[in-house]
Amino acid sequence: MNIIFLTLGVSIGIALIFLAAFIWAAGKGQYDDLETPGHRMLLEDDYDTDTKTDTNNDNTKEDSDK
Amino acid sequence: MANTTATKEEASGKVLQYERCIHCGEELDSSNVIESNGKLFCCTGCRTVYELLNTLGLDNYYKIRESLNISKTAAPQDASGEDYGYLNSESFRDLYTTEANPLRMNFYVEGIECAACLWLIEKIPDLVPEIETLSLNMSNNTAAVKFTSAEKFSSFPEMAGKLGYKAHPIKTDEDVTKLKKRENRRSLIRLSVAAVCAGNIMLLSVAIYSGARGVFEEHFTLLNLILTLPVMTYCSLPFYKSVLGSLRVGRATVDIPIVFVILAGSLISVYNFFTGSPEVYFDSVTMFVFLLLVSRYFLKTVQGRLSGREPLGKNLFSSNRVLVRDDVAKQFFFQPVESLEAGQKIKLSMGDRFPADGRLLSLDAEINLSVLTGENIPQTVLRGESVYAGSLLDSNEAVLEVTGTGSSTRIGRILEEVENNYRSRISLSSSSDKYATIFTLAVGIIAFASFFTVYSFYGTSQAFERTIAFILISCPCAFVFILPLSLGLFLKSASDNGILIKDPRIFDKLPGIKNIFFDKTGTLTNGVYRILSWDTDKLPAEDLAAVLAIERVSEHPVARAVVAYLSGEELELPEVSGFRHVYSKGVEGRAGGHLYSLTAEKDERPPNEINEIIASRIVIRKDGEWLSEILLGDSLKVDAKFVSDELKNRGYKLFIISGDKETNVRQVAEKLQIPSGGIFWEETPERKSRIVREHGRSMMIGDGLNDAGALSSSDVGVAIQGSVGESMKVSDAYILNNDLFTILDLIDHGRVIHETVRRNTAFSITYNVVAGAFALAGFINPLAAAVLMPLSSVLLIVSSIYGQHKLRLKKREART
Repeated sequence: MNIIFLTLGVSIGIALIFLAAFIWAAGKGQYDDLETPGHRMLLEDDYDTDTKTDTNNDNTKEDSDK
Repeated sequence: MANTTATKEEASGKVLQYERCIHCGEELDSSNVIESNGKLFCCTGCRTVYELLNTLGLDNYYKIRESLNISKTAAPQDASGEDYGYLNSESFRDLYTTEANPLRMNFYVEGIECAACLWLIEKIPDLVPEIETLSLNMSNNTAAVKFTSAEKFSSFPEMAGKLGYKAHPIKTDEDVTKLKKRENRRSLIRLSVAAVCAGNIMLLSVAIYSGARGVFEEHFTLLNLILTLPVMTYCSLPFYKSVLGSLRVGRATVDIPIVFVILAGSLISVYNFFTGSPEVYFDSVTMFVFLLLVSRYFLKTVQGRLSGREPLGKNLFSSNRVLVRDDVAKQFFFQPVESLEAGQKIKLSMGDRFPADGRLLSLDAEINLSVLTGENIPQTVLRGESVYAGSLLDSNEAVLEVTGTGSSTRIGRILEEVENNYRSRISLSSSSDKYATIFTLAVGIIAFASFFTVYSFYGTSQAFERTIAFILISCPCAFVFILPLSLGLFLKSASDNGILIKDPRIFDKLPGIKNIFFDKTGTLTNGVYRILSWDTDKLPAEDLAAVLAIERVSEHPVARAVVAYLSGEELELPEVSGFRHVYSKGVEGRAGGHLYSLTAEKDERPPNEINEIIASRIVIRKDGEWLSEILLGDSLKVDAKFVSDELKNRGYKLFIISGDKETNVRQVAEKLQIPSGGIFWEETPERKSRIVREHGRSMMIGDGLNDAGALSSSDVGVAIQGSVGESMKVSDAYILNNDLFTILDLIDHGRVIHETVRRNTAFSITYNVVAGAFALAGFINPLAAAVLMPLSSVLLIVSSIYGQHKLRLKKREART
């Protein structure tokens, strides 16, 4: 029955990995602006693209550097 | 969008097929169409932007808009006259940039509505070489712009102005924004940790409930305990902090029972785990914390998004800079408005807003006091007389000596009072807080009493068991997470309908409203001073050209209306000489060898068109001979009649409260059939506020700074689009579109949310009484708690969503 404890450990481990990924993403500021990137993504596909848009907001960069 | 048009047509009582302006999608009526190359526009602004977009190859804008199914956008902001050159000077650079980022400036951009705007604004770096990168945040309408050189800060607002958006530089308090951002990220992380722990605890608990025994039960419970630790420490930290804070000031908050539940539930479970008792509540406690964090986060993001949409800062003095005379150099220099002092001499040009109170030093000036009166017709001020901050200069140039700045100006004092008003009102606790306090006390007292009762009958361990079960089960769901959830839903659905609600607690007050006050200009009427009728066909082209040429020189609203009216005509303009303002009457000038004069004269004739309100009659004379006349005025909004009738049907008492003259207010009242007891005219901002307060149970709907006092002293203040920043600041709700129709939506929303909250409260009281009684009687074990707690929450969530659903159904019904 030790297999149960193994799977339990694995499942919690996986949960922790996802938690870590989420914390990393939140720390990078990926959830700061939930509206604009959605629109932007659609536009980049259909209409001419190569704008000098700084998609990763400057604010974000500074924060994550620290 | 098509639906709104339908209702509008109904509202005006006649069905019309509108042509739409090709740029902004505004419905065109015959009086304001401009044609160019077979395309129809509503104004020159739209035409200019349309042509510019086409020459720059940005006509994709229209395709994007079409693909998004958006037929109507805001008309371009008139920013053409703005000179942003001052942004490049050093004193302003220091004000708006930071040391860390000397090349970055943030702007608030007015007029952003959809993804097409996003696309257009983010194209600007391609068009303007001085702009390196640009990133627009649509949730708060700000653009972070990085420039290649510090001398080119003006290039962004200039380009945006050409495209029809108005951009204001904003001072970014980097510390505050950063702090806010960090706080937001932290609560998100807290939430995710709680989710992971609660989810896993749930899985393990299900195993235990379904019969895992022996070594499994022991280890699973241990694991649960370990997973509970971060939840009861790290995730619950904000609750502990808030309770400590509220204890310090001696006030009961909803957080007290929350902390009690968390601590009691987890500590007793830990104790029971080590003593080997099966009564552990890890699952209930963690799930409780998780739900709590979710609902709070939801409410906070909805609120934060809404507050971010308000224009920032003191919009009133939006020009930010002023020409100040330097007595040593005997010249005028630009200086930031913030550093203006009494005694300085400043020079303003036509269209500028007075940044301070002062005394006029030049001979005379035409001044538009709309900020104080709400009316657009300028008054003449002579040398030595006082002028007030916030008013607009409507004649050529004026020099004045500053007598008061900032909060010592008249408008500053009004604003201060308004803000105090607002703050004192906001601190009154709403009924939900009251319920929560009562509830907290009740739970505490019952828990205490029952502990001793049970103790005297069954002994210590039973007393502990049952009291803990009671506290856990009677978790104040309705107050602690259903209320924020319902309010969040309320805010969100309101904002989807074009209503930004700043203080969600107005739902308490909305159902009690009896009196509704309307401001006139800009609220019931369009607030646009335009030509209602003018027989231009009978005028020879040369006279028309002469009149246009003369009016072009003036910046008076009448002149602007005339110029706008004639902008479609192709006329060869003659040279104008001897232009002058005739004191408080009009203008005259010499063109093509004749003397033309345009003067205002009294007119008492009843207006014929259903929505028109005639404000003045201008007579044009050529060499003293009557030539033609113009009827000028405002018009009612198309839905004004419909909305006022509907409100009257629902039993509200309507009032009009205006700074305008009696005749104009009476015309509006007659059209809307509001009895003469319900109209107030020539009211100052101070008086408006008093009248509204005296009536009580009142809702004020207004648009200008002159309404700010009334908005803040009413129970529910609603500002509508076009409002000066300050009046939005003190209002409880802000209507984004210009439709009065939305007020009906707001009232419906208020009623539904009120019902929902009442239903939820009733439900949770019943639930708490029944389940609490069971808990005290000893029937509630951990399994029952684990089932009942989430179940009650789910029921309440369903009830909240049901409320929203009903609202949507109702809306659909109203539309058809």
